[in-house]
Amino acid sequence: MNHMAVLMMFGFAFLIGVGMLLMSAFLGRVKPDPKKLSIYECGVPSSGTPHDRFSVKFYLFAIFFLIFDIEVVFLYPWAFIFKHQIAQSPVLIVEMFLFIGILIVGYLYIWKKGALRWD
Amino acid sequence: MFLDLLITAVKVVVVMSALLTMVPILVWVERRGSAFIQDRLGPNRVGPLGLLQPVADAVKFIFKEDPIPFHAHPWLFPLAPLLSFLPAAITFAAIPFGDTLDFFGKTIVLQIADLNIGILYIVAFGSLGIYGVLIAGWSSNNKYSTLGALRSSAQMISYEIALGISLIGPILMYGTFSLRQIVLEQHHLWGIVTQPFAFLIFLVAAFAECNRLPFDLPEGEAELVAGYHTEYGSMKFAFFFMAEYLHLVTMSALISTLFFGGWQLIPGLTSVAEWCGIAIFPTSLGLSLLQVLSFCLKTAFFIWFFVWIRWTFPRFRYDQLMAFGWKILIPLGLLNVLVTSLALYFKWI
Amino acid sequence: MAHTIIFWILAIMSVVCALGVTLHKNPVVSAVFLIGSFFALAGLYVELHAPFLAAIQIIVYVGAIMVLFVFVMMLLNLGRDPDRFSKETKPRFPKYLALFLLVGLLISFIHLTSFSRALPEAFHGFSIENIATLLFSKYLFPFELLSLLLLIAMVGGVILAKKK
Repeated sequence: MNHMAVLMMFGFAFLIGVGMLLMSAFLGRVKPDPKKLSIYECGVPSSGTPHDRFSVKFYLFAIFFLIFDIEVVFLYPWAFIFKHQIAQSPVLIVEMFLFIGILIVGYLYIWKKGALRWD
Repeated sequence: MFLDLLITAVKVVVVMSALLTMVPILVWVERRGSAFIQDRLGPNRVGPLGLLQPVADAVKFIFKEDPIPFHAHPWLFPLAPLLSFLPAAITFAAIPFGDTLDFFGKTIVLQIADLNIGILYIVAFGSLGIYGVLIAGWSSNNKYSTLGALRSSAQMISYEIALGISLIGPILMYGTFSLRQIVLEQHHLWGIVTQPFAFLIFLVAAFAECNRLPFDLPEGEAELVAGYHTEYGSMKFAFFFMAEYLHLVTMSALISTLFFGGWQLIPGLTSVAEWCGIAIFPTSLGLSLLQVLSFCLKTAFFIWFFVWIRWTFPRFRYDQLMAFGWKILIPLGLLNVLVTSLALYFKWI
Repeated sequence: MAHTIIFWILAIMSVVCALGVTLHKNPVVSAVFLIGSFFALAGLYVELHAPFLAAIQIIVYVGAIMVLFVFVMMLLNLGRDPDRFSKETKPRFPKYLALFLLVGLLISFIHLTSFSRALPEAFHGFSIENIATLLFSKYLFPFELLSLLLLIAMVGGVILAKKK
């Protein structure tokens, strides 16, 4: 029933979204004009290709985000069972501290190397 | 079985209507609130106190021309606002806005879906907001839009890690992902007492996730024209704004659920509850109303807090913003996890 | 009955999105179809009584890995592939041979699987408690090795991308 509820919410939100977009598409004026529909660049004709190469910083940050996101994903099940199982197996805390510790070593490395600096 | 479906459908319609009504209310609150903070009047012509201003805005958006630029991608361009709106709208499904309601013998849980992976569901769909921004920037075929989209997404992903790590604190404390369980466990002590640092980190990360000042440089007016939504007009532009306000409401609701007891009654309302129960309504209905009222008041406070901060602080520079997210919030979050787990182990809490 | 309908919807959505990934000229559009395919997969995980895995699928795959993909596509200015529908004749035999072998492999896999064992209605084997307990007891060593893997990825990223 929970899953049906989520599906219903999704379906309803989707219908509302599409409905509003279509409403505006039908009820709004349609008067195309080349100046209106050209790419916006503060009023002057656009220069340069629209897809110039961008800095590699974005890629680096996306990689670091991926790595830390996976780390957080491992923290979730650990946090879930922690309260219930910490009495029987104190090893649980050592395991996770080791995991986080190795990742902190990596984090300090990338910090020292200046990879986290956004110049 | 069909009765359950009907009840769920009613809940979905009620919650979605409430959420969508919050958007015009938030527009009004933002404009009048910012005017109040800036010692000016704000909209006061359209209806009493300017209350019909958002209605006027909505009508304008519907009837205005909705252009699709020549070089924009034919179907990714209109898809992007929808991609931005959908995750913001459906994230609210896991948030409990009240305890159970006994309605003619049927017990209705005042929550659309009591998922046992509640928090993970919210994190998962919260992280989908990036795609609206990225696809909008890319499909506009405009280098300002692309740059704005990349910067906005880089900001959002940096603070998502802090958001995730700060959530580990409450999960450790309550040992569950289900938001209903978390609220139930806060009947003695609200979350902020046991997890103040997680609250602070979550609050700051929520500001950055919603692209609100002091973190709204990617939308900054003077910087990149209008960032990733430069080429969007009329209804599609309105969708981006609706998505931002819906995200705001969801984050406020989440803060009040995790750290401020959710629908647990505001202290002082317990005596009102007893009085109501005896005097006016059947006990369950009165109690549920007061619980929903508590939830709404807490969420409203945080929404006002978001607006208040926006018009009080200057914005961060982009490198300051990234440094703060990576070099300060992540270590603090990890420290919070370590300290909380040690405290639970040694039974200090 | 409802489960069958949902399964068929998810399966068809998954296959259609996968076809969209391979057949489209524009890589960003392919990425969007891949995201759709991952959503269908997450839905199938929910149907298999593994909601935790579905949530993690969306958090990691859709929320992190595909973001990386789209970033890379935006950064490298990957537009349409100009050589895609060129008129010059290319050798067609290797393409069709590979397709035939792949389809043959898939059919043999489906033939060898026994579909008689269905999961019982209230199956809790993939619950969060089970996964978490197993992860930190039986599979502890791979878990710690994973942290080393992530460390290597971090260091590798820095070395490849930073100038001296």
